[in-house]
Amino acid sequence: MATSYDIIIVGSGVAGALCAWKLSQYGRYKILILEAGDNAITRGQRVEFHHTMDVQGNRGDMYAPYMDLESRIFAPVAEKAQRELNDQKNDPNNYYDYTSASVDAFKAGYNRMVGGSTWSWRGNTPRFIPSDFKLKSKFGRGRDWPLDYNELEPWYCSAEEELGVSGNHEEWDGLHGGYRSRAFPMRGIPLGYADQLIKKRIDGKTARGTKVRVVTTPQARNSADYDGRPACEGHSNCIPLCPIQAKYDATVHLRRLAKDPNVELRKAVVVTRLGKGKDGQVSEVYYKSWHSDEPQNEHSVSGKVVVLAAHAIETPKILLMSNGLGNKSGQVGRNLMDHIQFEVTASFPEPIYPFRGPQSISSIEAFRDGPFRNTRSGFRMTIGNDGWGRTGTPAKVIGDLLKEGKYGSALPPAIADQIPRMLRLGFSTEMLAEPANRVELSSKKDALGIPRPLITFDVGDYTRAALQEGFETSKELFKLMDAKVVGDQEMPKGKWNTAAHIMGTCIMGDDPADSVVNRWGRSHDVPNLWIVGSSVFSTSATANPTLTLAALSLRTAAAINREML
Amino acid sequence: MDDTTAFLELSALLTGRYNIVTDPEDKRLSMPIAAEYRRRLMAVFSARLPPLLEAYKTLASTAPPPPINDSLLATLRATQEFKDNELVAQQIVNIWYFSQFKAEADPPAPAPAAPFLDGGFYEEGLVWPLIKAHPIGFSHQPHGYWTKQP
Repeated sequence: MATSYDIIIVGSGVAGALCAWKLSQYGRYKILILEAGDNAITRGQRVEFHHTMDVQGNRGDMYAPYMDLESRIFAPVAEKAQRELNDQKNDPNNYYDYTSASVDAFKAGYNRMVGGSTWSWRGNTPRFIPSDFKLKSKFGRGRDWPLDYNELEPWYCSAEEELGVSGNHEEWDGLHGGYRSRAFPMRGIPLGYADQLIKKRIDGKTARGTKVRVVTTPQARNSADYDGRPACEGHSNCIPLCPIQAKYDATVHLRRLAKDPNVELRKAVVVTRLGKGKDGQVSEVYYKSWHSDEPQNEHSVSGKVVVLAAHAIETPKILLMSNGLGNKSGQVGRNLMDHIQFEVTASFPEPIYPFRGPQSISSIEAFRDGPFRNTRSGFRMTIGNDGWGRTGTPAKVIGDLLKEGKYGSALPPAIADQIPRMLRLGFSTEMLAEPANRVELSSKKDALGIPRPLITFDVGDYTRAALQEGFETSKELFKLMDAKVVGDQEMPKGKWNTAAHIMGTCIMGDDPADSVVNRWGRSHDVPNLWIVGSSVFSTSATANPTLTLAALSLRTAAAINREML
Repeated sequence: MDDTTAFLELSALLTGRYNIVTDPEDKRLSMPIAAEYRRRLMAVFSARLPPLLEAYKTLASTAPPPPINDSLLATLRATQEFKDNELVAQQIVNIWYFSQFKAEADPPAPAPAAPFLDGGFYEEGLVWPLIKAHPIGFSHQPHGYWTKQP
């Protein structure tokens, strides 16, 4: 096994895979990808995951298909992070440890697998809008990115091509000022029967003083055969697994890389720290190999350039375990953000037949931006095609009917009447980058003796105010639809859901005093250290992060190449 | 009456899906499913399923046997065995509609809900054709089918 490479990339999720692929295209680098997981990336592996999910007895859980992986022991993740704070704190086996200063649970999880979290993501790929890059200068809150939408726009186009994004150009070009220089690679996913009925009732109407448009969400989900993958067949299983890979996942790029003799993917290895040489650069990447006979032993490998792409909890952990490397600003692990969401559930006035097609096809973008962002965040709304989403499954409907005593002949017509009317509106808010929200190293260790994450987290009033507004907006929209709100009638205090969009912990900025990486993703302190992924996000905005991190990853790879020439 | 037949008839009574006993073809296809569902429920409710089943058998043992309808259901629900074991009756409904069931009732919030256990015939869940959908994760239709009213 070679021990010296041009580029070492830690993590094979979408950020690492895209970065590796882009760099491999230059044809001049020996690349090593180090990955904590060890699953395969074949069709057979997908079938196996589908079967595991099938017998799990708890469908919809983002981890369900992956429960048989041995990597769960050696590269653990926060499988139960969606629990409330005290439940997590009282569980000694919980992956996340919490400080006493933590006000809220950090509910976001991720996959540590070959292909990363894109195995189980929903696949939605809206772009950030121009204001999202200028939160500080436009609204006096949070931070500005060190780059703007114009600078990232061409990379957005490249990322959309790489992931295979379907969308309708005429709906999105110019939305909130976000122009598009190219059409989407594929036309948008066709609206479902439910979306059409909803659109008929609310499109062009006003809610909370804002005109509403129902648009097709851009998504990395094929609306036609693309890149050797089929068009979506509507298995309605996006989270946790697309059975046919109509939804992009990072194994797309990993399979391309597998054919490149200059790229090596080393699986079942967990990076423990980076070593610093006398020149102040990263000299060694240390790791434990959990497939080996002595998994507690450290090994090392060296590379001219090191790229951390281990997602926004494990990436800062690696730096924090590296004796202060890259952390002169003190910002490593800080500014932890998630998209804090909630959903309002309703019964539509006529059957709309959810659970047919992708889990969400359409969205409402009208509330993402406005002067209010100086006091509360915006939010992005999605129209669910999955009944009542996380709030209530079809099993809950039947359970409630049985509690009313509706056994026997009363039951089938009640089911046929109620479940087809299930509808939810989800809204996803923005968090501010607050240094006090952070990841540190816990004294509790995992099976490999690596510190678990120690979290301090407070959602913040900027976000809480948006949750309240999102709830009221949803109610108004349901009223426009003549839909009856079911369940919570007011935004419950202290209650929210995670989008599992972890961001901010190696924040990007121009000033080395308060950021970890520069505008290209390069560490301010360590010239041969780069970071890709959502950990570099300066703002969380309200858009799903994957397309933005994909664009940044491609851009960073190009910057690495320029530096290495 | 053997236990599997009794379980199948009890299931029809509780779920309202009478066709699984009244339609000969549906009954033929449902019997192996019933056998497996009974086996899996017995693994969890070994003390609580038999009394419910016996209560049904007692009611169904008249000559001629009573029709499977709401009147028989009402009689069953009035028995002490049903009242004591209604949780199992609910899981019989769950296992047929979803091919999933729970080992215990949900504890009051904010405790997490009890997880579902697998029934083994996920694609045969009765809920999906009733709501004109498909078992989640198992669509057999072409791209775009969801645009049309089912």
